[in-house]
Amino acid sequence: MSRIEDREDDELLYDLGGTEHPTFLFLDAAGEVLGRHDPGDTSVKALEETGAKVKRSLDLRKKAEAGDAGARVDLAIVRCELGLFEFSDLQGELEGAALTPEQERAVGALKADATVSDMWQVLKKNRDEAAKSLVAEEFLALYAKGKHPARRGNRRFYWNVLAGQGVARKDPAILGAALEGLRAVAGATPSEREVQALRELEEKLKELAPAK
Amino acid sequence: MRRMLSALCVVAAAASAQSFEERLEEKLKKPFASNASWVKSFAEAKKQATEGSKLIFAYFSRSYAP
Repeated sequence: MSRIEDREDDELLYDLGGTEHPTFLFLDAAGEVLGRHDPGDTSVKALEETGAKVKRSLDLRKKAEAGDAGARVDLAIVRCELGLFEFSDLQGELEGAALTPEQERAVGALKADATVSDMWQVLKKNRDEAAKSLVAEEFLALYAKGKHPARRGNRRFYWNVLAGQGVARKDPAILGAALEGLRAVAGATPSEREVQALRELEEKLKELAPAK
Repeated sequence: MRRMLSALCVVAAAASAQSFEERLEEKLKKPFASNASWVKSFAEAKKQATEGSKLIFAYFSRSYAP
């Protein structure tokens, strides 16, 4: 690999706590990182949503600094959604706090993402049947509670595992949900590979639940 | 979003047949990138953000990454 020597800002990504390419960051004018955007979705809409979330976090910070306890909780949740700290740290921040239903839902979604990320690490280390069973079990539990991950990369992994479970268990509800989930991940311009994979799942779903 | 942001683009290089500048130009034609005025210096991005009361949107890539 070649490298351009003495070029300005070559270490900047690492200085800002990033390691992967691509990385998308929102910073303030002083260079403080305010949010990290999920690189799995580079649509303008998704980036604008992250930008709006960053702006919201700045508003919440002002309110929290003024003593607003509800804003302090919302700020912790938004900062976790913006990738500024881990879910385990969020749990520490929220200890003892009474959450509103909306806050509970947001925390539930973050927990789902954290679980899916953890399961990805499990499979990276070991792809034996025990590991695959553990992952399937965790994802079926999330699915049963209606708690699905939000990050695109996590969603692809999650719905692919559930699609496999839907087929293996001959369960059209799980397979149908997984198919919808994967269609959403593929978006408006799916790759050829995605189109093929979705078509195969549609055929399998027809076998499990023939149209009446 | 454009109004609130100064845009910083840092792209690491790798040896390849296509030039580094050509790959950078391709990346910056993507929909999310094409409407921004990119700068390649963090100091300049901070200066523009301070003067314009804006946030900075930073994009880090490699020549062989998205």
